[in-house]
Amino acid sequence: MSVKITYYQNFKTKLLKNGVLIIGFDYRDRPVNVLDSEVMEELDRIIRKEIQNKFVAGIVIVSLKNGSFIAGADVNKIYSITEKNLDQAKNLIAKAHNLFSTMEKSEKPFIAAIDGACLGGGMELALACHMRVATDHPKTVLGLPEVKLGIIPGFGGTQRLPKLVGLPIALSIILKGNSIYPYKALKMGLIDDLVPHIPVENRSIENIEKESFVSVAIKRALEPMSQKKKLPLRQRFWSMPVARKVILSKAKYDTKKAVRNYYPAPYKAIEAIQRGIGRSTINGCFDVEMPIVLELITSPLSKQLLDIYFWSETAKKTNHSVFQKNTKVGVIGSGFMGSQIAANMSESGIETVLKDIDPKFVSAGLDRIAQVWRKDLDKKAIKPVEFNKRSLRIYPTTNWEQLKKSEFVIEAIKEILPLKQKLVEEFETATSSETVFATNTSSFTVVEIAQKAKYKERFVAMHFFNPLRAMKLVEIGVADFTSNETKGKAIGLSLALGKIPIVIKDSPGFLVNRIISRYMIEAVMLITEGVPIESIDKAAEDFGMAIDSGRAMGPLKLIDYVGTETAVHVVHSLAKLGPRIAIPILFQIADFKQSFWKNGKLNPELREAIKTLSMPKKRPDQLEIQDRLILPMIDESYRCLEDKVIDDPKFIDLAMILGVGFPAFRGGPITWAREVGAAKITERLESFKDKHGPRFEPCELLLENIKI
Amino acid sequence: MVDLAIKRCNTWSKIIKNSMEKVTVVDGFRTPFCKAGSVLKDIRPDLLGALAVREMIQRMHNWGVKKSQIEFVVGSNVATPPHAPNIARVAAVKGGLPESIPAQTLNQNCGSGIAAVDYGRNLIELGRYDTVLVVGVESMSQIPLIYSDEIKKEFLRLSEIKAKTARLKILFRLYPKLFKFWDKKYQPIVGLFLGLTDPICDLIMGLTAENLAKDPCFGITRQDQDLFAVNSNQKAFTAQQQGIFSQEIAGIYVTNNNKHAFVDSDNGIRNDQESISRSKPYFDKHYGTVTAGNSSQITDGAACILLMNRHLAKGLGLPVMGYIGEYEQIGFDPTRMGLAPAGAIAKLLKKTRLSLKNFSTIEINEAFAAQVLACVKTLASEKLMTRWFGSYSLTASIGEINPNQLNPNGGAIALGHPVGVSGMRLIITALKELKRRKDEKSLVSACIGGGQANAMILEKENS
Repeated sequence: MSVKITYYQNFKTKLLKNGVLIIGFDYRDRPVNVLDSEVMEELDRIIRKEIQNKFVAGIVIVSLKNGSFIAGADVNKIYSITEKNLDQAKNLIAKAHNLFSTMEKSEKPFIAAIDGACLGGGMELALACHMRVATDHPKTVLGLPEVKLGIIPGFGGTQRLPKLVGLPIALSIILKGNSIYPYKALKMGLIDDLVPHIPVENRSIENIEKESFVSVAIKRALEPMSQKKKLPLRQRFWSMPVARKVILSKAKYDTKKAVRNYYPAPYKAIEAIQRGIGRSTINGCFDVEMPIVLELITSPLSKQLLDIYFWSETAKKTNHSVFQKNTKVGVIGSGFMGSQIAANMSESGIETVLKDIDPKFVSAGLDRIAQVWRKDLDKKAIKPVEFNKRSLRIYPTTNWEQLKKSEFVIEAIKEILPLKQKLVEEFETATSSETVFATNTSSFTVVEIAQKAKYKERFVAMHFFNPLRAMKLVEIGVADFTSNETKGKAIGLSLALGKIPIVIKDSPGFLVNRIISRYMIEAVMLITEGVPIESIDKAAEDFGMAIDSGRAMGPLKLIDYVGTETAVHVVHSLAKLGPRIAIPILFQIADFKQSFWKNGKLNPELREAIKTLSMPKKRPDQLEIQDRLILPMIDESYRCLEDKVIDDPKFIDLAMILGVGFPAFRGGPITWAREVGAAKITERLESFKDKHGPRFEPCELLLENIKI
Repeated sequence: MVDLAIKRCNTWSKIIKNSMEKVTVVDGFRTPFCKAGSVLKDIRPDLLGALAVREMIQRMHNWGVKKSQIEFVVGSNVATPPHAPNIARVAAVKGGLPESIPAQTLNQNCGSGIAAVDYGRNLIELGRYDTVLVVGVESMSQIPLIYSDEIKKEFLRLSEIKAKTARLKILFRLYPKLFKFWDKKYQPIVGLFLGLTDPICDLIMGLTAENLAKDPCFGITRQDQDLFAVNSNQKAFTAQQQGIFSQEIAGIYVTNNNKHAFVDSDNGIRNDQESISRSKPYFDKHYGTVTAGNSSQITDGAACILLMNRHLAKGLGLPVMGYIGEYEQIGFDPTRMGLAPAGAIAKLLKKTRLSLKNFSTIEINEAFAAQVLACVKTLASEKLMTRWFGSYSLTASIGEINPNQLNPNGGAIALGHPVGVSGMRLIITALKELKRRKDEKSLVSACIGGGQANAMILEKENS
């Protein structure tokens, strides 16, 4: 018998002489493979046909796309599922369950050959195979990220994964939704073989069996199917009834700590796993998993989370010029932000000149960078070679000469306007007139900084957030004189750094700082009124502030984190926006540089300061505190719209979620305000205005919105 | 046939044209020279080299020249690090040069630096390349300790035998041996000393210097040597104070115990007479005169020199540091290797028909004070020349070297002698000094362990 290739719409199959059938998945007209009903039907047809074929001894499933196995279910399709067309979804899931179960029970071995991202539904398909062979392609990751979108794995992932790798590992994979890198996956038992990745130029069904990872998969397909693999001793221990109870309640406890009651998906995932124990996989899929998935998939929360995902994708598609990796970039200032920016550049493979005025400062910056990378080394996330490469990509200097030929310079020096203006002057004499100057200022406008500049069209703001590694947002502040070319370059660089750029009109505090300052001011005002520090932070944490980062954080903890001095500075620079943003009286009397929290209590020095103010003591209830903290932010968000700082309200929401951890389940300030209703918000603000002063005055746009 | 002939003709004419034109030194710098075990001790030699290469790339970038202009990299390194045998390649690629640029490391002991520059020059004169980067690296702190043969044998056996009980047996035997370092048989060998000992005559370099110091024909006393060392340190100290070295040093940021620091000056200069006269003979502890004070130091450092075809450098509008002139080397008695520079210099002068007066400065690498003194005395005396270099038909005395001429900014006794880099330092220092003195020519020479020496002429103008 000779080799036989069959072409389907989204698949190509090849029957080798030795009886192994290779199913190559190649979703037509798409850069990556996704699972939808059309594909499922086709795959179902192929597999059912080939299982009957007596010439087929084993089946290898492989992707014909480079760098991606299967990226999961189609998010657009998930988004379109509503109560009305729920039956379609139900059919698809049932079809998948039946197919995967057939695969699992088949006597012919199914092998998944994974070279690239294998996520969500793709991972579940791989789990239904008898063995998984993966490569160490830099893009190879495995994971079930459904929880991040407010749903749970729907193609049997919650049932099969615990049986394969044991309960504790399965819980950690499903509940966190994190990606697992191949080496770790091998250790966990998630994959059976880890094959070195050898790049190929054109992958095609014609010679796919010659690729090393596929040949390993073919070898595995021809081996007699081994007995069911036994879990390692430790994993088996945790599967015993008593231990199981412990681990499940611990998972619930941890989830409660991380997401409180705001996100149901992790709890539902635990439930699905718990109820699946002791059931056969197919029963577990149909009886336990499917109802939960259908319930979650139509929930507004899931839609909201998907919305946010789509927004960030839209933000990434803003017009820009693609950043060339060999562009010479300079970072001026090796302080906290400067060093983090330089580190991020180097991690993204961009050579950077890091300049400061004194070797001492440069060394301190390099120390900070190396400290972070050394942690990566300890975690084995990078190899020493990569550490060296990263270090060598940063060229430290104190000399302007080294920035002479730079094409892009990011400034992150101290927040002192005359210093920045002087820097601009030096910059203009040292570099060519085409070098882009991006300022990472948090408190000044591009107009102020570039006041004395000769070539203004190349000035732009790129406002990064601390800690830079975790914060995906970059505000691109565009002044009237900023050219489109400059703007495009700044966006391109942000994308090259893996960030989400949001374009904003150049204005004091840009967007996030402006909105968040109202929240921080109000928190400080509340302390002065004698409200306990604990209840202020708790009110905000209960609202869900910063909950998505895994650690809820109230306003005072946030001020401590960014540093009181920085916070005061930001507020000070925003004072020109009107009397509503003023430095709280507490800062006027106590010029302290210490934190609010000290050993779990209010800083004693502050307590003294508050006593001297002798304001009338009030004990508002939690709801009032919450409203006093959150509503000014809503007001300010509308003011930003009013001032045309940004046109699209969805980007305000996205910026607040990514920039300061406005809870995603609430959908961002504007979305939340629309849900609550403008009337209710203005009413509440008016009542605060009467009680606490004119700073609560609702803006015109909010008042207008009531009428609509 | 005709085509081939024309092609050959073209190649030859190119070679002839190139060899008439002197090769340009576009730029050269060195890292600070730091005593072994001090600031640079944690830096792997390949990383040190990469830092130097990166600095050169950055300088080229500032001139507006692409890094891919470099066509070949020649490395100079003596204590080959076990993890990076072809260190030039590792330093070049890590430092940021494209992978397509080949690199080769050259080792001629202490003469490597000068030899590598000559090699690079030859490649350009032959028309093979237009731009060659020479990078010298030496980390003497990182030279490893070596297990003795006894222990190595056990380890080998351990890797060969698979049976568990037998392995245990070997392990039990091996462990006590590992810690028995008072026993010569099991002592680890210091790689540094091993490298500094000439296997031909089984003498450590210091003892070859003792041979010269003790030879009555030179009449070198301990006082002479110490005075020379004090002078060398004094000159280096003055040069450092006047900022002369900062013209040739490129400062680097290095980590030491996980802390970054900026290093931009040499740290070996001993500016007190006391310590030099106090130091005890190190190599011949009873009857010797060669001390740690009047010998060169064990040092870490790197250097980089960019060589280019003269026309290309001119076309690109690059700065010119100087030009590479004639080069000569000789082989000599390994037990008196320190005297060889006298021969190399004499041979070079005879070949070029130049005399000492033609040179603004003469840099003789100060491996040992005794050795430089012996060379100076030999060059000045016809009797000594005939005695040592008569068989090379080099009998004529060259003349006295003016003290103002010899190592005007001190030498390896003060700055240290990172073996593979010293030669390059001599070239860089000589060229910078030529510029300062606004003079024409200078001469550099180094003695080479194993009984050799080389010498090279450097020119400011293309004459």
